[in-house]
Amino acid sequence: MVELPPKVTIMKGASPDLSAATYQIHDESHTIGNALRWMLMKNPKVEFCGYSVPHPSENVIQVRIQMYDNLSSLAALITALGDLDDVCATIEEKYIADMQAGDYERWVERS
Amino acid sequence: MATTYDSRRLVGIKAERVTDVSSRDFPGHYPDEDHSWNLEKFRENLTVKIRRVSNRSIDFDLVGVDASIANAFRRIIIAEVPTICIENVYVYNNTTVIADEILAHRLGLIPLNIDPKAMEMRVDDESTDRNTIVFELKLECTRKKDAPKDSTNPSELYNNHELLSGHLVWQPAGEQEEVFSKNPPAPTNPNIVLAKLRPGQVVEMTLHAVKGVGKDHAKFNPVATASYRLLPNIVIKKPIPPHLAEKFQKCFSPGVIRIHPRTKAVTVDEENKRKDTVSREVLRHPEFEGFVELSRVRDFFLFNIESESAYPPQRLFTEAIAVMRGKISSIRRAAEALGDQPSDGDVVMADS
Amino acid sequence: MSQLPQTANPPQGGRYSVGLVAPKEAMDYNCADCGATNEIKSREPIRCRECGHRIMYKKRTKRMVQFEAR
Repeated sequence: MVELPPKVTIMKGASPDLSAATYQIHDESHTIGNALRWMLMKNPKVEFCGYSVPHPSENVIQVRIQMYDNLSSLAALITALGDLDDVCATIEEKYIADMQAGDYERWVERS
Repeated sequence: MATTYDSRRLVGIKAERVTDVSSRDFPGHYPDEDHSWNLEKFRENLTVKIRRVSNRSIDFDLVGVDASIANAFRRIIIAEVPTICIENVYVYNNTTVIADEILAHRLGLIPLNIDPKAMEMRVDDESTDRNTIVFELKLECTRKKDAPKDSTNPSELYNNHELLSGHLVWQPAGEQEEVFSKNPPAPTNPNIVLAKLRPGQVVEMTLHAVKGVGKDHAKFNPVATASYRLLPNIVIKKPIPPHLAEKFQKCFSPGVIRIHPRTKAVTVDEENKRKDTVSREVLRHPEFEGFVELSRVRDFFLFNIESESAYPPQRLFTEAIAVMRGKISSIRRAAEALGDQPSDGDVVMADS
Repeated sequence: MSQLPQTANPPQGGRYSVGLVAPKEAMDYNCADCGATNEIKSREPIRCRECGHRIMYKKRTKRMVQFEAR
C-alpha cells in the first residue's frame, strides 16, 4: 500500500505562534473548504480566513487563517470543525424528526 | 397573509442583474451586532420541512443555513455518497455488433439494487466476498422455427434478439447468499437494452461489481439530480389595476398569482409562490414598473433529490450528512495531531 | 489481479521452431456473405464452399478479454 500524505499540514511561512498560518488539507475540495471558511469567519477572533483550490489536478485545498490578539489559528480551526459537526448533527436531528412526523405528501412515480 | 422577510435575507432580482448575493452575517460586518457562531440560535432558526416524497424522489425545505452548508450536502450527494456498480468486465465471447469496450461501458452504467452499506470498498484490487459481487451474462440469439413467413418483427422471428439488464445472473460467493437473501443483487430496472442481437450472435461474460463514489466515475453517482433553489419572493408594492390583472398573472408560473373573482384584486399565493421560475417576465412590461419587486430568500433552500440507485430518496440526505461528519472528524483528528507535536515554537512545516 | 478468470487456451508460444515453415494447420474463417465456416489452406483459392464468395472474416479470439466498465 502506498503511503498516504498527511491529511493536514501547515505550510511554510506560518508565524511561530501559529497566529497566522495556511493549512493544506489533502483529498478535500470546495465541499469542505467553503463550509469550513464560513464557520471560521463566524469566529470573532478570526481576522481573516480564505481558502483556495490551487490547481484542479491536485486534490488539495489550502485554508489561510489569521487571528487577532496572537491567538492560535490551529485552535480556531479545531473549534470550527467541532462547530461544523454540530451543524451537521442539528440538521440531521431536525431532518429525521420531520421525517418521523410524517407530515408530507406521498406520491408514486413510475420509473 | 403574506410572509415578509427581513430585507437582509433577500437576494434582489432586477431586470438585468441580481443584487446582494453574498451573505453578510459575519462578526464585524454590522456594527454593534453579534453574528458570532451560536449553536442555540442556529437551532432555533433552523427549519427542515419535508414536502413531498415519492418512491424515487424527495422535496424538502432547508431553512436557516448558509449556502456553503447546503452546497456541501448537495456536492456530497452527487460525488461522495457511495453506490455499487459493475467495474470489471471479462469477455469470453461477444459476436454482436456492439464492440466489447462499448458494451463494457454500458454495463458499468446499470444501476444496481445492492445496498452499499452491505459492502466494503475494494482496495488494491483484492477481491473478496465482502467487496465484489459477480454476475454472469450469457445470451445467444436463435431463429424461431415457427415464425410467420412474412413477419418483419424481430420478437416474432428470433429468440433473445435483445440483451437486457434483466439477463444478468448473480453468482453468490461466500457469505453473500446469506447477506443478500432478502434482496438478491440485480439491476434496479430489468428492461435496459444493452445490445441487439441477430441469429448466431453470442454474448458471454463475467462481471464484477464494486463499491465506488461519484467523484471517481459518474456511474457511481447515486442520483439523477440533487439540486436546490432559493425560495422566490414576490412583493406587490401597489394594487395592480384590474384590467391588467390577467396580464400580470400570466407573467408568472401557473398558480403563483391569484385574482379575486369579483374584485379582481391581485395577490401572491403563499403556498404556490415556490412554483415560480422567476422568469422576470413581469419586469419586461413598462406598465408594471414600480408595481412589483422580485427577490429570493438567501437562506431558504428548496431541495430536490431524485434517487437513481439502491437508496430510497429520503435516505440520501442522511447519508450525505454522515459522509460530511466523517470528513470533519478525519480533518479534526489530523489537526489535533498537529497540535500534539513538540511545542517549542518550532512547527513542522511542509515544503510547498 | 489474483482472482482473474483464467484464459481458455494456454499460451501458444514455442510452437514454431526457427527456420521451419509453420505446420499447415487448418484455420477457420467465416464467409462474409453466407456466414458458413470455411477452412483456408495455403496455395488454395480463397472461396466459400457454400456460395463461392471470396471474402472471409477471421473468427473472434477464444481468449478472455478484460475491460474496465468506464
